[in-house]
Amino acid sequence: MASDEGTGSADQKIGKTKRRPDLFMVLTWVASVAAVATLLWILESIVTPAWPAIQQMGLGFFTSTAWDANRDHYGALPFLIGTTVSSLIALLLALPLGVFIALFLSENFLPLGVRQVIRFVVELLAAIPSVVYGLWGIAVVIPLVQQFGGYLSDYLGFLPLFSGPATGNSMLTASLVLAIMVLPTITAISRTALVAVPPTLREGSYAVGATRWETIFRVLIPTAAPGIVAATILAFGRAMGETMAVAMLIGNSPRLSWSLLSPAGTLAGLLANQFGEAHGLQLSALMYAALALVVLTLFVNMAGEAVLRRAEKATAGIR
Amino acid sequence: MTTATSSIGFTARSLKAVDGNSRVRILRNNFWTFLCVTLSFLTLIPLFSIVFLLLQKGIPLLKPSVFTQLPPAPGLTGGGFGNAIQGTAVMVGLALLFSTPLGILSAIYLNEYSPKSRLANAVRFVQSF
Amino acid sequence: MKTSKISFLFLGALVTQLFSWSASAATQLQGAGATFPAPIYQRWIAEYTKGNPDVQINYQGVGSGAGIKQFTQNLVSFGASDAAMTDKEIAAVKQGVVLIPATAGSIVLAYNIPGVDNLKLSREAYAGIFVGKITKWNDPVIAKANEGVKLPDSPITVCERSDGSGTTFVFTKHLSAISPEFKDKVGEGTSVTWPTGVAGKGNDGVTALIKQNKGAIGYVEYGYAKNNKLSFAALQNKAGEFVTATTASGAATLATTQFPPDLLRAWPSDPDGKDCYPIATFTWLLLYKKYDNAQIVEAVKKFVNFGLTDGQKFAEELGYIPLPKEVVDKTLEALKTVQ
Repeated sequence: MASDEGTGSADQKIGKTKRRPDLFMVLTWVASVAAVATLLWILESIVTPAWPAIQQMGLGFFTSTAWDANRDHYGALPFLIGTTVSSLIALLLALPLGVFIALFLSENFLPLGVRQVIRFVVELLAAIPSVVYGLWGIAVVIPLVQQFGGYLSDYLGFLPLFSGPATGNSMLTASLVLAIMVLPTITAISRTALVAVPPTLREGSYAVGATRWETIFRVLIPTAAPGIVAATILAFGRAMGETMAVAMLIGNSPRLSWSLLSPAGTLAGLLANQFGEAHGLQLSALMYAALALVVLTLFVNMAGEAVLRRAEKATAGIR
Repeated sequence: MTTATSSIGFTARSLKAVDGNSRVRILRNNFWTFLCVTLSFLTLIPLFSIVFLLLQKGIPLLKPSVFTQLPPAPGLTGGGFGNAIQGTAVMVGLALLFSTPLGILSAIYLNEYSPKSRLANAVRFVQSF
Repeated sequence: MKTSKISFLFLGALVTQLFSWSASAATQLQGAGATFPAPIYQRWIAEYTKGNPDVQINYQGVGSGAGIKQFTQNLVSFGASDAAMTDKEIAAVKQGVVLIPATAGSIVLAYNIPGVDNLKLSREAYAGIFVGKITKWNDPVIAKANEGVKLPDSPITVCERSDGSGTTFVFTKHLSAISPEFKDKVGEGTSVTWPTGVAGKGNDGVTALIKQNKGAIGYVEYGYAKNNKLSFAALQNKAGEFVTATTASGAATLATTQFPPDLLRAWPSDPDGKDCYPIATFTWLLLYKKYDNAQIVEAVKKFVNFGLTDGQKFAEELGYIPLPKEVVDKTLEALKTVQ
């Protein structure tokens, strides 16, 4: 075989000899190009059909609220808002819960055995398929929300947030189930961030007389904050793309409403419901909505990855 | 990393109330501990609920024929979802067949041949997306 | 290394074996379309293939809209639609189209009100509910037709279709015929924007929504309501009578349908007649006028013939209306033009 350089270590850049490409190297190169090409191909197959809609509606697509297939008039604002709001509420619920669980798993309040059980349970929650969450939502969460939502609507109905009748299939139901779906993501990444905090910081804090929780709130969490933020952003990305469970629970309504107890719609659900029979301008409009979803999730994921990488670098050097 | 968790055990045991202020701090500390442990055990609830629901609805109907037979026509009972199992197996098998060599080969390219090239960065970006 | 080699081999063998299990039958027919008739088509398939094991037929209930789309794109051997096909859609199919009314059914308004079994809805009431004007169950308009029934003071959750649907088409056609306000505000079509309510995918999706939400009402095919034990309302027809959906009342509606001479396509949007249930419709099988494959056209014709003759006896059991004899004769005539 050729020279002895190129055995992997990127930091041995002295005397970088270029290898003559052999078949294996070409194969691996092709595989890498294929990976990138696949993404470009996917993007192209969304943008091309979306083009007529983009030309016709431009950015007004995202400010118009009427989605009327019958009259060929398309506006994606309700779905955009639905996607964003359901994901945000899911995060609002999952973030504190996830961080607390991560704290539980990284501190030793209870013996290791108990911690391992909880960790296992959280990982199991991550493994459950989306459809099963939808079915569980229908069987368990909808009746709960109908009843509990009824009380909310009766007593707090004057607030626009809880106004209107409490349907079982509503924004609230979908957000609750979404929260449980993204909980494992937040927990896992936050736990990694918390465990990565150098022990010297902890010990220093205890040395000056802080209690366990004072240490957690004033030292650990600020240090692990970038990691926790990254976890939140990635969970947000996951929640936005979630299709099956949400479509089964959210009611698929193309109308804007302030109330959490009313049905709503998401971009992913819109695509899942209407794609099969769409043609002409409707198909174009759906592709446009798909493009919006892709771009949204892309940005969110990029941001999450960037913050995560910065977080790893920040705590890498301290011993 | 486990040294981090084991080195902090001493704190909890040495909490002692010396004056009013530290009594409050200890109370607050115990409150948060209680909240944290309770919330963590709360996560057991959805999982148990899901598993219980599946078992409750599924076990009465579980027979070996369920995995081998086809769905019955409407108006008839019995049968199974063998077609779904076969479909899932074929789909996952094919997906693995295609993605495994591609993934391994591009990973090798990323690590062994040119980790810093533009192509490598592009692949890393695509992979995260 | 040895274990991973073995596992790769095993995986490969498993996949190959799974492929061979899906035995290649002599003829394979693919159909796709409306969810409305899906139960009876599935039953026809089960019964027909019992006597003809060399034919494999697969029908997917994806909605009339998707069915027409797949049929136009030549992805299936036959399509199915409650909205038949418009002239524009027929023109888009190169091989020509033969519309065969295969079965018929009523669309019922199924509801979920605990304690109320025999709801009567006047034309004003049900049009008002679906146009969003009537929002509570104890509204005077509803109460007027239901003397002595305790209607709850709870909101009405309207359940509708989220996908393109022939059931929606027939229902909105009827509502547009009886209510100018509805025609103006919503209009008719396979996919409309409803002013209120939750939406689900397919007749089964709407059925699920009705079951899940107390105080819900939605439009589904009669068979789905019957099989899922949902209560459904007696509707007031044009003659002013409150009629429940039965085989007889549905058949009376069908009898008022006039087909145009060259095309078997018509909808009884607002039938006269005392015994007519107001919302009943045929549902069509879409066949090409000219098939490329002789084996497939043979199989399709034999299967459809089975459905139109022996298959009709399953109609009542599953909640559909058996085709009137004159219609069956006309369809068998039309079937002959398929080649």
